[in-house]
Amino acid sequence: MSAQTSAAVDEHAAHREMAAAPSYRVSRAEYAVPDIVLTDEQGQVVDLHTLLSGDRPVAVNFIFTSCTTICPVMTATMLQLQRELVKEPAKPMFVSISIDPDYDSATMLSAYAKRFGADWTFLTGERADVLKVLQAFSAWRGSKNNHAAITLFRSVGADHWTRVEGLASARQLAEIWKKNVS
Amino acid sequence: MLVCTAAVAHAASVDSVAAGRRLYLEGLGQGGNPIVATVQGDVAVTGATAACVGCHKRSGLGVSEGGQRALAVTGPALFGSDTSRVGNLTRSRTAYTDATLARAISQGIAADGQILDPLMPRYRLNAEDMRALIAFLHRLGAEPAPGVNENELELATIVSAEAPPGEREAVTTVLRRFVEMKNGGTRQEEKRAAASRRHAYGEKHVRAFRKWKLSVWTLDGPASGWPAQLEARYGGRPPFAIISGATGPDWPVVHEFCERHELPCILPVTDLPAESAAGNYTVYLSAGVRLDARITARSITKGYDDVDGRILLLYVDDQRGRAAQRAFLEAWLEARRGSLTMRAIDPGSTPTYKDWKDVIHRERPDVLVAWLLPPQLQSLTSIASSAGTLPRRIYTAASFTDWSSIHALPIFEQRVLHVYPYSLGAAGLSPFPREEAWLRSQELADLERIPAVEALFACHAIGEAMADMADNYSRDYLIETLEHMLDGTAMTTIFPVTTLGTGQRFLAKGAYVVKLAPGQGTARYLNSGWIQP
Ligand code: HEC
Repeated sequence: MSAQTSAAVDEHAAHREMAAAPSYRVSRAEYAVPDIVLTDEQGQVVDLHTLLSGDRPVAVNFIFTSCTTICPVMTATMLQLQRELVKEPAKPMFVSISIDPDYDSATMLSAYAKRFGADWTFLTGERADVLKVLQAFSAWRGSKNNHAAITLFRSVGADHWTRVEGLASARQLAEIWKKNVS
Repeated sequence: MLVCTAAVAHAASVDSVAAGRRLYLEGLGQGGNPIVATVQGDVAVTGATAACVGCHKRSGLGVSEGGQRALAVTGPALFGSDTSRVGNLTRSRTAYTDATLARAISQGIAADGQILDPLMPRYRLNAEDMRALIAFLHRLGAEPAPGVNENELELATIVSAEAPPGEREAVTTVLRRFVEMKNGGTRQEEKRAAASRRHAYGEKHVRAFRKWKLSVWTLDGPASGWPAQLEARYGGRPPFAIISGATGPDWPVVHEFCERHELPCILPVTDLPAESAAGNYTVYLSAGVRLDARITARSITKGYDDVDGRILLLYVDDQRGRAAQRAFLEAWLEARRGSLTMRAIDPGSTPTYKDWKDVIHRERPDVLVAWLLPPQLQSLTSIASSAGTLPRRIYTAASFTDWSSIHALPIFEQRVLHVYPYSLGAAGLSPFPREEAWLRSQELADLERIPAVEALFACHAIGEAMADMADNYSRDYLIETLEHMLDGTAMTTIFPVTTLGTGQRFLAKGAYVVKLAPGQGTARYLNSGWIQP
């Protein structure tokens, strides 16, 4: 029942606590971050390119507030990943991008973040802009109900991203981060 | 003695079922403590985030999303001997016992020993909470839904004399005709299915072809008397769902009734839905006048360079006008651009040219918002003859005004910005070609167009959802199926964008702001921007 079954399996998958089949895959990818302006959960305008090209390594995922299945799990996982990474020399910057801009206003995102105690940036925007962003990161599957669990990591100044597709534990994600991100 | 024990056990289980239901829906254990669990091997989740309902849904029939499948956990699915008969999301395994179910919930080991995917959280529940939860799961989905039997699916629609006659007629006529056609078609499908009964899927399909039975409930008198009438109709013969409907501005009374009975109410024709979108059972086309109001406020306060002028809001002093005014005020207070004056216009009056001129001269608005009855707006257009004082922009909205029946001088029309949520056909083409083709083929092209198209869409939506649900006639599952199915649906082009999701209750979330061009019907409307508040 994993997103990938027989696809390339990361070595860390062996660390899974349960004997279930590995349910995520790690790859390297380059994406052209589009020059687009989005809105954060405070209602502030954010230039995506600038936000992601700062002096901190970034972790990006894709969620929507009315998703009750994997999104809460992904958000809770990010929260725990944040704790796993507190001792890292480079403080990670987390960004969650809504894949349902029609419904997810800044107010909705802010309430969602509060519900989880998540203190990172949540982004929404004009439907067409958000779609461009999702496409740029190969994160759009034609409908929000068909969303994939995707987590992206990038080191400061790097031109490639580490892509984790599927659901992993917080510790697995932390290991992938430590191995690939600086 | 035996009888006595059974009675006690039953009494205990009623409490227990309620506690289990709360745990399932809200993630709260007995004493109101949030439950705790571990998901994906090491991620802690608690309370609402850990509630079963998120993944297994109110119906318990599970969900398939983005390659992840949460299996069905209804009583019949878990404890029944033949899981293939329950839901779309079951796998074949031995039936659960209370003990193996407790093990699945706490350790993620299924009845047949299979390790469940780590997305299924492992719960740390005390014995009492576990007992309550299991008692609830025994009952979940165990009763057949009201309004369905082997051969028939009962649906009802609700109308009242408060709705405009054209709207009522469009809704009831389209529904009756659609049901007639569908039942005719069903006979064909029954024959085909019977012929293919030998095939693996044959039987499931046969069971899905129930005849639709439609009742039209007509409410009489003032809305204060409706709850009693609704209860009487419902008690006599509860339908599976309410389909479409048109009762005018008091739809919230029907909304409350549907919530009370956990009765799905699918796509009623109303521009005044219940104010709080809170509620599970009504799926609306749009937020109606409140959507118009928010879009107008957004266009005024953000859409132009000169947003700091004087705004005059004229609204008809009835339920719709007041609801629009309140929604506008709320949105305007957030942005606070310009100065705002508001005037309620008595619905029983039609101010004269002089009345309007006095108001305009006194207020000197840069922006005028006119949410008025048709004769009132028609009379307002007479201010065009004193052009010197005309506002720069005049906002109207589809919930109040149909510009095909209003005539104004070009100098007035040029200033109009009309908020319009429906699709605009490409030049000269119908925006709803499929619906209009059907209406023509049924010789129903004279019906009022928008409500007829909306009612037809409600029919298609329920028909498609039923087909998807196969033989799982659960009211909650109908809502859950529509939440997925209507997101970005190609079933209708009534709105340019339709989106829905879990707990979302309004299909249309934005609208065009159009300018008026000379011409007829919606060909008069020229897209001048799409706004999503
Ligand atoms: C975050 C999502 C999620 C939540 C919350 C959740 N589950 Fe599950 N559950 C799943 C998934 C996914 C599966 C399917 C696992 C598999 O296929 O291996 C599942 C499977 C099950 C099964 C096994 C069904 C079978 O046919 O063997 C049971 C029983 C179950 N869940 C009960 C519960 C109960 C009770 C709760 C609440 C206390 C709950 N689940 C909460 C995701 C969830």
